[in-house]
Amino acid sequence: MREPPERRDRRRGLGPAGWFGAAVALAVLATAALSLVWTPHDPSVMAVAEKLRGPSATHPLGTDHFGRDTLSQLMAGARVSIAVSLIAVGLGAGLGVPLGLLAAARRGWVDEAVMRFNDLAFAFPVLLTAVLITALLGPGAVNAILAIALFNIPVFARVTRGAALGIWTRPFIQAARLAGRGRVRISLDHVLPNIGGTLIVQGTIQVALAILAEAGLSYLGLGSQPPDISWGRMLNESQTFLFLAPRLALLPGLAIVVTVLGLNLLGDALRDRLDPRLGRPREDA
Amino acid sequence: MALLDITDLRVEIAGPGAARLALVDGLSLTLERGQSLGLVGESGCGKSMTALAAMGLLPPGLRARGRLTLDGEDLVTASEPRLCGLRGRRLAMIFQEPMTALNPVRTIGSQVAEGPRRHLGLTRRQARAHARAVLDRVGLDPGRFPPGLYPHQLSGGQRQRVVIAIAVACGPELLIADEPTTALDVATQALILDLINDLVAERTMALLMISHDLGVIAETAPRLAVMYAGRVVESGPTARVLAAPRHPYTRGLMGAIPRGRGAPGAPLAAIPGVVPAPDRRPSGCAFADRCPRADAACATTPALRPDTSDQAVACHHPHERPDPTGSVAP
Amino acid sequence: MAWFLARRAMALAITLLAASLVVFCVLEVLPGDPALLILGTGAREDTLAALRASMGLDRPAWERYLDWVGGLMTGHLANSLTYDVPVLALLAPRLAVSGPLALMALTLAVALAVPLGVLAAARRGRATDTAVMGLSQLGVAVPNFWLGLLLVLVFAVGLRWLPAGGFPGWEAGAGPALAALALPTVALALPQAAILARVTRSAVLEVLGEDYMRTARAKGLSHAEALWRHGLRNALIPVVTIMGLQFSFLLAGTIIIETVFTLPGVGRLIVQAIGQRDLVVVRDLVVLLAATVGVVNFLVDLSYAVLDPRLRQGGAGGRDA
Repeated sequence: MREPPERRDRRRGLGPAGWFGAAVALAVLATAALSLVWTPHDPSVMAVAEKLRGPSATHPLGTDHFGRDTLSQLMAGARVSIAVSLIAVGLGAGLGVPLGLLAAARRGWVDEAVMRFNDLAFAFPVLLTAVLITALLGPGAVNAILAIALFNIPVFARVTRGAALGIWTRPFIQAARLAGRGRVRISLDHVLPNIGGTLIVQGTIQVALAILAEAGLSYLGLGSQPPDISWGRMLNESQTFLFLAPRLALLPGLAIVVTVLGLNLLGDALRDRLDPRLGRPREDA
Repeated sequence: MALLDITDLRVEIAGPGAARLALVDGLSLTLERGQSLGLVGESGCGKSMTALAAMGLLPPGLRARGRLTLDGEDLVTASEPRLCGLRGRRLAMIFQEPMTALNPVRTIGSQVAEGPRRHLGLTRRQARAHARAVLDRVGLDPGRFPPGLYPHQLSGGQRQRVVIAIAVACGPELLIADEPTTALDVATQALILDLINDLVAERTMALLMISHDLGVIAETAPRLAVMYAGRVVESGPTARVLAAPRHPYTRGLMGAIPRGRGAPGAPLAAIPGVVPAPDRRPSGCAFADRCPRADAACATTPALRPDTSDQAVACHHPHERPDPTGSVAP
Repeated sequence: MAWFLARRAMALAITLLAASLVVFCVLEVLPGDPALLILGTGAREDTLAALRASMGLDRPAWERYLDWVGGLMTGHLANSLTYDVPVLALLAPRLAVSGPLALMALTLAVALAVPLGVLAAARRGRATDTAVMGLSQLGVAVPNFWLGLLLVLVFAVGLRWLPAGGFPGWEAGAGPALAALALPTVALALPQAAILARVTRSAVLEVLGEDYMRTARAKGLSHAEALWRHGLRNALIPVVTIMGLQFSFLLAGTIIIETVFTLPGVGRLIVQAIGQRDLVVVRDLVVLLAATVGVVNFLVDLSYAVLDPRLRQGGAGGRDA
């Protein structure tokens, strides 16, 4: 059976799910930015007399076991989660994309070496890398960034290489080669712009994964350390009071789920729009 | 009663509203038991859709309307379980692409045995023996081509023989062959056409041969129907139509047959333009904007009108029939 | 095929060797003296030196590396710094927790994901499809440890059906042990199942468009029969690939899930060893986990050969008639 001959509709917009994702991503970014200048309370000021309060007018989402305002903590936590994820993915892409471009441009032993390095890096799941790094340097947000970035390098290298190999077979690249342009110039001028869509899509998804990883590390106590606040740390601290105040475990988790869900939906919608691999023509009967 | 009787068949893209596109647009043809009919036309004219409609295997999103009966039983309205009982048993199909029509992870023997086991009530063992015999009959001697082979171990022609074996395994009354040789090299094409002809003759199957190639049709079907933009524009005995095509489109198609040994790559005396997509068809005669003889009259759709000599044409300005006493050379 | 497997086995060996080298080097440059760690800062210099010598720390690094790798291969692991028992002795009872946990989670994930993915593909665009894909989109976004906390809230705190954490040990009987592993298994499996369901769905959709599916239907097989007999095996090839890739996430997941449920497993051992700076344990476990991932991916390559006959024989291409 072939695909129905109806044309795959090239949507102009992102579709409802994509817009929802974009809105969530923007809202989280805005909240993180806002927390730099304003939160309802100082997220790290303790008021033991006010501890474990339920939601009220002064504390819309209640307080934790030290009497800190939960809403303020969530806002500050967004900042750490987003910053760690963006920097880590940025670093990973910054190293992985050039590696992938190089592998696709030079082929041969360079390609082989990059791919073997990839295999090696894939043998260490992100948490394992983080475990090693924290064993080496001690826990902390910077080391969490390092661990997540390290995990992202092979991902970007692989995606870039795959997409770039496709571009290298195109006629205009052959033309540029005949015109005597070097492989590096061609990679930067012709290949990179053509795989930008694919990389943006992958980047969105990797940020979502990074948020999950950061939360996991912080939950284990390997990520950001007090007095820094992150969603993962909030979950870590909430566990002791799971029976008393399940709200404290629910809220940061919901924040993670909504953010990751939004980013994934945005990534999927962007893929539909940007990824050239989906736009292949269909044969009709 | 004709074995296959198609009346005013439409294959439409399913959807609400009156603006439904029809890939097959009012097609009628009949095929008697044990006879062969060629269905010819350029790609995109609806030949394959007609075949798939007859099999009840239209791609999702398409649906058939009109009458389409096999031995009096309407296939358009038949239930899916009923169709499953007919497919492979009473009507079967050979596909165009032998490289992809076979499941790469199952042996050829098991793929041939599946139909007989289901339709003929054979045991596993009997079905396996049956598959061996059928494979042998289509030219895959079990000595050299054991049924335990996988498709990737065979050449294109050999794979097409397997596809044919699957189709004829249960002795269907109607065999539909959709461009069975298009994907093969010239030498293999002739062998496969011979095989199909032999099988049709020895098992008195009816054959609906679908091709864009008039040569293939001439070799396998004593009668033909020429399709254009979802309809039959000319039909009749193959020899007569080829000797004296009356529809301008049929003439154009014949001009498209490479004759003799022209230089490779030399342009064919083809018809200017392409088959209009279903959403771009002109109202009236769909061929009008490619036709040298078109005039104002062609703004209305011509009906398929039989003449006295068993040939029918749907054209307002058909070419004249040559002197009926004249010879009808192939 | 033999050639293919030999190549893969070689690649696996090289990857593992490289991994062990990386781990060793990383820990070698680590500041911190194991002897100082054991004896405390008040220890006398000659006592420290004696301990270093007895631990072999005064020997050159390459010698210690070879010793270590040789020990890994022969199963002679060094003693833990904190517990002073061989790592293997430390490991065995914990593997008896983590192994079943990972296997049960993987089984549950596949058992949920494959049927749901096939169902969604078969009902493409209909309500079932939307529901399955919506759930899976949600499942991918849920952190497994938070799911663990939710499960504890509902099934341990709320309904009191299952324990909130801890492990009674297998000697307490299969019932209590399995009950202790039930919630961790679900927490680990659901996010994995969400990913696998998506992969299964798209693999099946791809297969549904294949010509051989139409051939199968033309034989008289119903839609479901054609999917079951001809589609599934072809669709499983990409699914198994992703399963292999996901396995490393599953292992990493056990590290965190064991912490949530305070299970005495390998993952928790690593976290504790880091806390105690027990580098002998850390390096052995990290290499062990990397090796497990490598072996699983090797098994995935093997399973291709089972699923796809084209990989079983060497040369493709047809014989001539």
